[in-house]
Amino acid sequence: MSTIRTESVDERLLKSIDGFPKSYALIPTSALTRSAIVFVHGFAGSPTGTWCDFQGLSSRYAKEYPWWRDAALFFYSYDSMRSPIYYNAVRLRSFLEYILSVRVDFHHNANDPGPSMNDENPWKYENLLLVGHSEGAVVIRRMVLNAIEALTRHGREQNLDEVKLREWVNQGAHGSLILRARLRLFAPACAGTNFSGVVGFVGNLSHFFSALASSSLVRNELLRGSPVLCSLQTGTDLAYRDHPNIHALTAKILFGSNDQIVYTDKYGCDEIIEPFAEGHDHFSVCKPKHTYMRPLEFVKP
Amino acid sequence: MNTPESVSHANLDFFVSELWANVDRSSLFLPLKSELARWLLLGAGIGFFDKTEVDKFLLRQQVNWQEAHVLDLDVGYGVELTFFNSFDVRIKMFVANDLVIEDARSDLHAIFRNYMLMNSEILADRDAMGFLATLHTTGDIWRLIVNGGELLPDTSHSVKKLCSGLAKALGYLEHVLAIKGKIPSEMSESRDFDLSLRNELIEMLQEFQSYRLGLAGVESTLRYFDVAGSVFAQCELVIVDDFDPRREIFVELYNLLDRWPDPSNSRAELPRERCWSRYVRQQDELPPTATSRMGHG
Repeated sequence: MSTIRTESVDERLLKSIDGFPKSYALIPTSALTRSAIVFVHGFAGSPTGTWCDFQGLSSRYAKEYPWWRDAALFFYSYDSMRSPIYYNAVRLRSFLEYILSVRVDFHHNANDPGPSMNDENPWKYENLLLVGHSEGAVVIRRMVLNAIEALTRHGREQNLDEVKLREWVNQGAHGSLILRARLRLFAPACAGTNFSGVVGFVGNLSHFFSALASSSLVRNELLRGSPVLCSLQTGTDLAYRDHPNIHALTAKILFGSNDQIVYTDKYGCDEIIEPFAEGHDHFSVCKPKHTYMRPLEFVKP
Repeated sequence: MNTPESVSHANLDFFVSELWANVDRSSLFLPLKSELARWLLLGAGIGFFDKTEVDKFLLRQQVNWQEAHVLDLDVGYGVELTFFNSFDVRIKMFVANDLVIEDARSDLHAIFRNYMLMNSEILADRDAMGFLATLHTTGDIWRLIVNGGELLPDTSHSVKKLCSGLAKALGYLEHVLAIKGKIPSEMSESRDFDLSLRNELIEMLQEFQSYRLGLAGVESTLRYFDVAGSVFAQCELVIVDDFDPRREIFVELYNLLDRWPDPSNSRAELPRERCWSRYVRQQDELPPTATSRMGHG
């Protein structure tokens, strides 16, 4: 039986983010902030609709899950119903480079200047967690693979041999906070969705109409075996084979036992966390409650 | 500036940039400033915003309006301003007991912020705002919209756009009603006055938005069924294993909209037959019963 708790006042500053409508941040005021947690919603989701339970409960249970107390929380919004995965991945990269940059000052606390600005360290934070739900997980992984492919291309342009190219990419990844990120994925759609029509897509009223209003291209991209999902898996597995030390290539995954929307599968480099979230479906798996604290435990640096 | 002050300043900055400014940028036909002014007053009353800053902000807006020879917040929009004015006494009564408010401050702030964030998403969404604006058009224009499909040159009233806007609006309603529903059940030892305070805050916020959401009267509420029916008329959904999506969706839609409070009290209960008639577009068919097999996300 849960008991009522005295909620600590959430002392995070609410900030909008220039150039990224509907995305926002909650920045702690009271502590040295070294970690950023970025949330990416799924198909027809929204920053608040999908993740709002994290906002209140991460403050309320800060004593039990102390890493939440000092983390800056970013809630990313994108057009999950009409824009292609690849486009959204490119835009997510821009978003991350903007919010994580030491040049952008979301922090109000004058006592916390953060890392000093220099060419060696362009990042504001030391740790990064990327948290995705459903389609959001696919967008995150595409963004990660794009970053590695870009590094590899850059290395090839310098005519490095295969051994030196791997070292060069590893070194570049080590200097990239984005590629050092840890991935925590709720019910990822990486292995595809298990529906063949609009009716099967929905678990509730708004998702039903969202599916009807969505672009068929996006729905097809998320089908099992789609070229987009296949190339993402192949590319990620190959990249992991060459660069097993790049953290952002691997993911920890939490599925609900009642998920009827996505295939409960993983890439070779992933770990599905057991036990499954018993009694939870595709939508509720990522929503912590007083009686369901798994999401707060799962999203841990 | 100490921490609570900086938090309340940040809250107001966010409100102004993400909600108020969106109204300024919008040319949509909705009386939003009257509604948002009540959000500000209520937020200041519970300490979510800095009261002095809110007073200054509203004063500046009033000066601007007077300079523009506009006498009231949303004059010319054809809305009954008494709808919004009626909330002012209620807000004052709600915030009158500082000690009780202080005791429940964290919960009240969390609820208020949640609603504010959800609303900022709706206000920034062109499809959602387009859909909500059409709920308030005259009957003739409305009939053209739902029957004509691509009526206007910018296609903002195409069925696809209306469907997208409907989805966003319904997502918002689902979320809000879920918050309201889970608060008491989530806590096994809730203090009575806390719960009543929370529920009253939620009800007030819901009622503020009722006009914008088209849920402050029967006719605009019926238009949700018009749009849903138009969407179904244009897509080919098949019945599989006795699962008729059209009837299932009607039941879900009716249950959702019927749970929303109507501050004008113009409807005690949504008229199911009329809703069904609008949904199936006058076809001779009986409405389904109140149960549905769909799950909730």
